[in-house]
This record gives sequence, structure tokens and C-alpha cells, in this order.
Amino acid sequence: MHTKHALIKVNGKTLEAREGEMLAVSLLRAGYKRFRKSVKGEDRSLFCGMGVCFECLVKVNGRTVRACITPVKDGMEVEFEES
Amino acid sequence: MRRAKVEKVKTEILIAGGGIAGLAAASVLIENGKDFILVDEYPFLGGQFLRHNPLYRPMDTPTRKKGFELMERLANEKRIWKNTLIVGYYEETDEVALVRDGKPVIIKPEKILIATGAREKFLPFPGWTLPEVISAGAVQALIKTSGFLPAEDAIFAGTGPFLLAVAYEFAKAGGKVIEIAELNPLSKLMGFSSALIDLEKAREGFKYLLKLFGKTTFGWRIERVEKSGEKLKVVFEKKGRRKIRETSLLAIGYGFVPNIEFAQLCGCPVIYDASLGGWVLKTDDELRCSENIYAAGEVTGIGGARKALIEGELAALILSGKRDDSLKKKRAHEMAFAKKLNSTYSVPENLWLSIPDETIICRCEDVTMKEIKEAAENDFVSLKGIKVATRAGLGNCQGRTCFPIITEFLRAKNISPEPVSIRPPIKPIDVGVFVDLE
Ligand SMILES: Cc1cc2nc3c(=O)[nH]c(=O)nc-3n(C[C@H](O)[C@H](O)[C@H](O)COP(=O)(O)OP(=O)(O)OC[C@H]3O[C@@H](n4cnc5c(N)ncnc54)[C@H](O)[C@@H]3O)c2cc1C
Ligand code: FES
Repeated sequence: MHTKHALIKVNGKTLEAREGEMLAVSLLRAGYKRFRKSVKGEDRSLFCGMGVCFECLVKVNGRTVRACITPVKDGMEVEFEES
Repeated sequence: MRRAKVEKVKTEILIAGGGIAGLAAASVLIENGKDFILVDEYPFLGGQFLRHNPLYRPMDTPTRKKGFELMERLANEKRIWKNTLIVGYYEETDEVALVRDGKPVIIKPEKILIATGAREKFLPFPGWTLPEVISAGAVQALIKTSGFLPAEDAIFAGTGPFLLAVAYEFAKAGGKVIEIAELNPLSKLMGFSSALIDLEKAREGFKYLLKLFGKTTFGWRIERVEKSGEKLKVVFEKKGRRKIRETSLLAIGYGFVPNIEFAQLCGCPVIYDASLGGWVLKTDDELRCSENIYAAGEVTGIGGARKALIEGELAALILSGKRDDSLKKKRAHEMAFAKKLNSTYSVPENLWLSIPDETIICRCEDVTMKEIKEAAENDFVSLKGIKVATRAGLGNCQGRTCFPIITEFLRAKNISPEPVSIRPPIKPIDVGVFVDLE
């Protein structure tokens, strides 16, 4: 598990991540600390880690997903607003 | 809109949820030659208790050992569908709408076993939305599923033995535990001190737990949290006294609430029982909610993995036309223990009333405590009314985080709100998938 590497694109930049690992974890590992801006413009990041709170919403291949329960796949294109 | 083709599938029993309860049930149904399909929203099996990296599966307790054996036995089972979210239930046809790998599927089961588990509960404070404040459950998941330590040091705050368990795992993974701030005073916990250390776990980590015990403080609540350079500044309050601690990460957890949304949609009766974690499914002693619907695990009352395991097995035996009085007895024992535990580690009622006005309550829509209070003063005392008046619960999580908070706030004001009624989809999904469900 987690030994296979996957190349993904994060906001246009290439990142080497672990195939099958939850995307939110790969992003945190790579030093991304915020995933979303709230209604009032606050930075938000992973909070529940189990698909409940929707604070980790990012776009993967154009579709909105919860990064904490979305496994990394080679070739994925990830987008979110960085602070 | 282009119509997607919808696959329709029949099965005898639909198991909703692949946590330890759902998996235990599946295994018993297989042994009894029953037809079933188990679905789970996650891309992995095991729910909250068994979501470990397969390379690291600690067999340190009988429940874990049994759980991981189930995971192995069922790993390649074709009737278990991961990545499958339940989004609706249609009463007229008794059909359940799913989204499997992004595509719609309709299942028509004869019976349903609801094992949708629980989520965490929170007592909010100003600053709890900062990126460095995360749930204790998230810390646990990061460590046990991915081997990822989210920070070098952390404070764990809230209430319950779960905090201690997560802090223990954090320390074992190399993190520095600065403090475990148990909200309840030691005097309240003394009567139930055995629960502080789950005896099953104690064997392996007793020394460690003792070490952590020295880091545990009692009776302090978080007043607010602020950024202070790279760190967080946590202000604690106890009987008018204040203390300030700095940390890289603040992990919070105030207990659990059952995920009853799918059951509500199926028309199952729910009751409010604080000693079981809030709104729970009402069942008879054979775990029946209604003629064809059964429940197992956290949905019947917050009681941990052992209770969930027993209930999964029991429900599946009943569904197979058998009876097992010794399991029923074990279940009764677990329920009694759970009630004591939940009552001991509850958030003191007055604290729901003293949440500061500026605190965000609904994280999706940034609705503050002030707005909730004003709505309540203007006679919006149902969750639905508060939702309309303030937008709390209108966002993506559909109130899963804020409704339990608002419910406790209203109950502390002697108002007993009904749970909010549920409409499909139970969780928001890409519209493209949903086009053909009508
Ligand atoms: C974050 C967290 C950590 C916990 N850690 C521990 C622990 O370390 N030790 C312990 O004893 N207890 C722990 N608990 C308590 C725990 O809930 C139980 O011990 C155990 O996981 C209960 O098993 P279950 O099968 O009832 O529920 P769960 O394990 O929660 O499983 C429920 C499953 O249902 C699925 N589901 C829910 N809704 C849907 C839907 N609409 N469509 C499809 N699938 C759905 C979920 O994806 C989940 O996999 C934890 C609880 C939480 C919330
Ligand atoms: S962190 Fe809560 S849904 Fe992902």
C-alpha cells in the first residue's frame, strides 16, 4: 500500500503523490494548508477527515469532491483556491 | 438534460454502511446463505474503527482482531460495493437510490439493515474554524490510515476517553502531546474512572497512558483560539481563571452523534436520548425499527466498536430467521455501559448557553451564534425555522455539523426541537448523476 507513486497536477503544478492515498493527505504532506475559502473569506482546511463537514472541497478533473475521501489517481488534475 | 441509464438491482437485504457493524452482519449473512448487498460511501471498508492501513493493523484487542479478520475475509466480496453513496429512499416503490462510482443505481431490497455509524460532535468557540484546529477523529484517521502526523505538537481538548486514545496514537507516532484538556471536572469522572482507560487497550499501552495521564487537566474549557505567528494561542477558562497555551495543532472532540438521516428518510422512528448520544433510532430488542428495517451499530446509540460488532451479528442472525439470547444479553450489557459512559462525559448544559456571540456555528454558511440566538429570541425555535431565518444548515454538509450544536443550545434553553426532516439527496452530489432518478 501507498508505495506506488502517482503524478498529479495541483493548480497546474506537478506533484508526486502516493497512489490510493486520500487526496487531502497528499496535499497536506506537500505543504498545502488550506483547501477552501468560506462564505466570509476565511481559510478552511481538513476538519472532520471523514466526509462529513465538506471543508475539504476541491475540484478534481472539473468535478467537486471531498479531498478527504477521494483516493489519488495518476493523472488527476486538482484545483482549489490557494490563500 | 441528457438522461443517464439507471441500473436496477434486486436483493433480499441491503446493508447500509460497511463499518464494523455492517461487516459483521455481512459475514453472518454469508454463513447463513442469505442474499445481500452492502454499500458504503467510502473508497475503503471498515468505517471509523477499522480504517487502518492494511500494513498496520494492531491486533491488540479482541474486538480489533475480530474486526480485521472480517476485513480480510470480506476484502474481495463482490456483494460489497465501496464508493457507493446512498442518496434517497422512495417509499412508494421501496427503492433505494445510490450513486456507485459516480453513476446512479436503484436497489430494490426486501429488507434493509441500517448501519450508517456516527460522526463527531463539537462545542464551538471563536477560532474553531482556523485551519490548525481539526477534529480528534481526523487526527486519528490521518495517523492510522495514512501514517501521517499532521503536526509536531498538539493539544487535545474536549471530553471523553476518545481524546486520550487519539493523543496516545499521536504520541506513539512521534508527536508531542502538550496537554489533554478534559472539559469535565475530575470529581464528575471519579465515579466512573474505569472508563478512563479502556481495559482492552490498557494491556499494550498502560505505561504510556499513565504518562499521558500526567498531561491531562480537568475542568478547563476553551474560551477562544487565535493565530499567534506560526502557532495557535489557546485561551482556557476555569471558574473565572484563565490560562494560555501555545500549540501547532488543536484537536477537538466532544463525543459522537449517530448518522440517522437515511433511517429518517425510510420513516424509522427516532428518539432523543442524551445518554445514547442524542437522536438515535428506536428499535426493539431484536434491533427492528419497523417491519422490514433493522439497525445496528452507532445508529442505535453511541457505544463503540464492541457494541457495534455484537449488534451487526445479532441483526444478521435475526434477519436469517435465527435467535441468539446470549448475544442479546451481551448487547444489553454494552448498552448499559454506553449509557453510563455517555452520561459521564457529556458537555455540561450551561456551556451550550455560554458560546460567545461571534462564534461561527454553521461552518458552511458562516452563521454566528449571535444570529442563532436572535432567531431563537424571535420565536424560531425549530431547526427548520432557524435554518430558514439564518441559513444555518443550508450549506453542503446539510447541517450535519451545526444541527447537533443548535439542538443542544435549544435544549439547554428548555426547548426540545424535532430533528430536521430529510429529503433526498441525503448528501449533495454532482447534478449530472442525478438526472434520471425521477
Ligand atoms: C471519527 C471517529 C473515530 C472513532 N474511533 C473509534 C475508536 O478508535 N474506537 C472505538 O471503539 N470507537 C471509535 N469510534 C466510535 C465508532 O463509531 C464505533 O466504534 C464504530 O466505528 C462503529 O461502527 P459502525 O459500523 O456502527 O459505524 P461506522 O464505523 O461509522 O460505519 C458506518 C459506515 O456507514 C457509511 N455510511 C454512512 N452514511 C452512508 C450513506 N448515506 N451512504 C453510504 N454509506 C454510508 C460510512 O461511510 C461508514 O463507513 C469513532 C467514531 C468516529 C466518528
Ligand atoms: S474534512 Fe470534512 S469532509 Fe473532508
